[in-house]
Amino acid sequence: MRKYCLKRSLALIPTLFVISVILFALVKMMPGDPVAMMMDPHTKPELYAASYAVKKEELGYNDTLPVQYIRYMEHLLKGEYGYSSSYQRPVSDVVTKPLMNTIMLNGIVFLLSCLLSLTIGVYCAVKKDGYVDRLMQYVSIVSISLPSFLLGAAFLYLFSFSLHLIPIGTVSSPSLIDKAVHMILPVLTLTLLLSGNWIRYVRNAMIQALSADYILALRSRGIHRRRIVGVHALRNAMLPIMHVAVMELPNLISGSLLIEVLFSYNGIGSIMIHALMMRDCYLILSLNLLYALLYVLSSFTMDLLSAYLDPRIRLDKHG
Amino acid sequence: MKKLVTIFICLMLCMGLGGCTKHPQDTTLRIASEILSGNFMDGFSASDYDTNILEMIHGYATYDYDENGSMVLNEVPVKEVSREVDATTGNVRYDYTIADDLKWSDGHPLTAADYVFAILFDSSCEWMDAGAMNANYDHVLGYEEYNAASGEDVYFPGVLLIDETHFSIILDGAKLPYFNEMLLAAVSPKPLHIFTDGKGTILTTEAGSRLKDYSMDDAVVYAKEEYRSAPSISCGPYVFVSYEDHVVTLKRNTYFLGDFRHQIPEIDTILIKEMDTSLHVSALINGDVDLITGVLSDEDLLKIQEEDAFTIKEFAGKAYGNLAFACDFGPAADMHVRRALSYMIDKHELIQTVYGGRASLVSSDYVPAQWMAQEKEEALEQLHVYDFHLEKAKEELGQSDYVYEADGKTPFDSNKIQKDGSYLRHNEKGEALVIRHLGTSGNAVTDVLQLQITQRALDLGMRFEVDYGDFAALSMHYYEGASLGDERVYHSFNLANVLPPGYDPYYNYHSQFAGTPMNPTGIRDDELDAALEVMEMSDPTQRDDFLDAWMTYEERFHEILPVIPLYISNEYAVHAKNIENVNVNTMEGYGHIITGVRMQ
Repeated sequence: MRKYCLKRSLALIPTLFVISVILFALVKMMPGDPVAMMMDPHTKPELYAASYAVKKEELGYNDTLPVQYIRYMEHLLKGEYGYSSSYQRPVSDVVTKPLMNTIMLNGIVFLLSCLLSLTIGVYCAVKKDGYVDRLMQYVSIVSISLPSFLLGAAFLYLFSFSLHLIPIGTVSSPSLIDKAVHMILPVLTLTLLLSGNWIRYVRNAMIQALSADYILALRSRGIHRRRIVGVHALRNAMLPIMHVAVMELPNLISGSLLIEVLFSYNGIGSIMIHALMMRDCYLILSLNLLYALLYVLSSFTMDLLSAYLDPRIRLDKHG
Repeated sequence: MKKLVTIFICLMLCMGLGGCTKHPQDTTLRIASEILSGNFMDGFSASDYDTNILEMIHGYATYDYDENGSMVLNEVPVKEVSREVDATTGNVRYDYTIADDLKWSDGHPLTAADYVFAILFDSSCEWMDAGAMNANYDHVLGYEEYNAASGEDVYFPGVLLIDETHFSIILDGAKLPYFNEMLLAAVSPKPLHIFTDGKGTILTTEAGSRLKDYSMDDAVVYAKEEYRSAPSISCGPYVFVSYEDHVVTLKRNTYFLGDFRHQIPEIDTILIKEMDTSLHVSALINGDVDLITGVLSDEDLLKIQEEDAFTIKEFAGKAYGNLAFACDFGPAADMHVRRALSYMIDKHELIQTVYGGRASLVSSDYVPAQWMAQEKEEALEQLHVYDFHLEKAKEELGQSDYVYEADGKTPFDSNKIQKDGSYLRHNEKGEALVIRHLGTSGNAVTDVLQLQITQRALDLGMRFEVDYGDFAALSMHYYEGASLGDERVYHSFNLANVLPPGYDPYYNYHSQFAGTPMNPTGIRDDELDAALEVMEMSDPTQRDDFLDAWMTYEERFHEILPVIPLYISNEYAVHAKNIENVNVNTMEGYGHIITGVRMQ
């Protein structure tokens, strides 16, 4: 197991390297001059030229692309993520708090979705083809098809514009209650969409697990149904469920971008949109590398979890 | 025991009475804003939305501007100012006497040293090397030498600290006269004790003034890395508290003695809440904000009016939408082509379609709220209107260089024009009359221009092709067009020109700056230059000469059309009825009038 972990960890390095090169090239190919976007066009000409030169040098844009890439990677390995041309401060200063907020939002959504989908999915599997099961199948299809921003806009209209239950826009005070209230709609939107999708997986995995021979054997031995479902079947159904959940996590974080903008939530969503509009190369690069890292890490985590959850999986003859 | 119980009961009663005392509730005003850049200090690129916050935080400038964009003396910090002209050199000296009771928001005395420090700081090469873009004092004597050098022995000759309440600024005679001279001598103080950690002082000798006992480099580093994004000590009506979760929190500065109108703020807390423009009206109606400003659609206005709980104030904006040209590139370099295009646009229809009629026409480079436009109102009305008129457009094209067929020799025949654009006008070099226009996605004005001009242009033997991009692409092609080389493809753009108080068109349209981002149209016109030069070099006392030159400039601008002015959209300030004195106007945003706002 240890050897497997080490091998997989080492394999991450070339993967991330290739991703970083591709992302860097794509970002640099974007039309537009990020230095010019920082400038006030009404600045007097001589000052404009001097200021432009200073900013260009500061951002390292005078060097060739390979040199820029190497310098960026050197700083990245030291924990420095470059300088944001649009915010005119280090990327880490711009991103840290919003990133924490995004993680908090998505963490809450993830936990609630797990809870909801496990509960309903297991119920649907046990009461297969019942009213609830059939209803949830439709709900699941709708949630897969519905764009997140559409549902979010609908909730905004209903709860904020029409019923005046939830305030519009961002927080009015640093109090936790105010922050919690402002998180209700984004959490609700993302949780419903995610749960709707996961319920299907949980249901199908549970149905498969419940139809196994050992379940019949357990029933014949008089084991209580609740124990059969909650302990034995669920344990065996967890592998595919965990697979979906862990692989969905990076999608969740990148997908919450529009929801954060819609609800004026102080996450990395609005920062990413702003960075794209302003051609803020290092900010775009850092955020996209983060997403790439999340995808790679979730895949790695899934491999490790698979081995842990299912002893039947043989990793190698030494594992 | 009984004594103890009695004392305990008395204490409880006292606490209860104390709790029952009516404490005055803090008033909080919540304002909706678009996205902020987070730069709350002059010198770095700040949006108009940031400017509102800057105006609430920073204060005590020696001169301010009023609702007409005119400069006025700020008599709260300035007790006296005298102006003296050196007959030999032409240098102009301003001697300021400031009030002796001014304070920063931390209670520290605000003295003449803070004003002198502001000039030294903003003019230093260290500040420019940090990437700042303000050259507020470039007309002060010795600016170039001071700005080019760094270190401890660098003196600024045009700035003198006399004592705690007196300082002087000497303007360089070689750069004068300048009509808006007051702007050149206007200073806003910076907190010397904060920027220099309480250690810096100002030394003034015969050579001028410099910062002593502290490195300017260290002051600049502090300003750029800390103060710029969190200016916690200031002297304006409000003090910055925080910028978190898309909310800027400001608290009333209890040491503030008043703005140039002698108004003192009464609202305790201001919250500026960042949110998308589309949410502003809903947030107002929902009660999540108290004040919104900006352009509103018919639908939004109707929603607000239906609530009958808000006060709506309408005023003309300080920007005009326009179709701007690259006057040094391709067919856009031909004045008659530009004029022809102006005749092809139905501006009334544009205003009706995009703004529901809530905008006004403008014929040249001005907005009606400017004091010059008010004084020359009748003359401006005489400027002929480029109304939609295809015949006149045809006449203009007939006077342009594009009067040939593809061979560059055979005269163009209007009767052969095809609706599919297969028969186009050419110049003598055989270059076709094709205007490539860049607009922005989701912009209604771009859509209307495409709808209006495309077919009309074909009917007149030219092509008008519209591409859509985002703001970054438009900025690159418009402001940097001259440096793009072969990548330069666009001849026209639609955007807006903002005319803030003190707007000086000299840098924007003088041929000296053609090809730089300051003059992105690249216009080169001797008559325009001449008018701009007269305006620029008018003495402050020569008001009539300045006005005449300004009118000449407007007339020539209107004739050659480096940009086609299209409309000035109306803007609105809408607020809850319990808020009073929200005197937002064309020239003054909410940040500038905040001291007069009251809440019931």
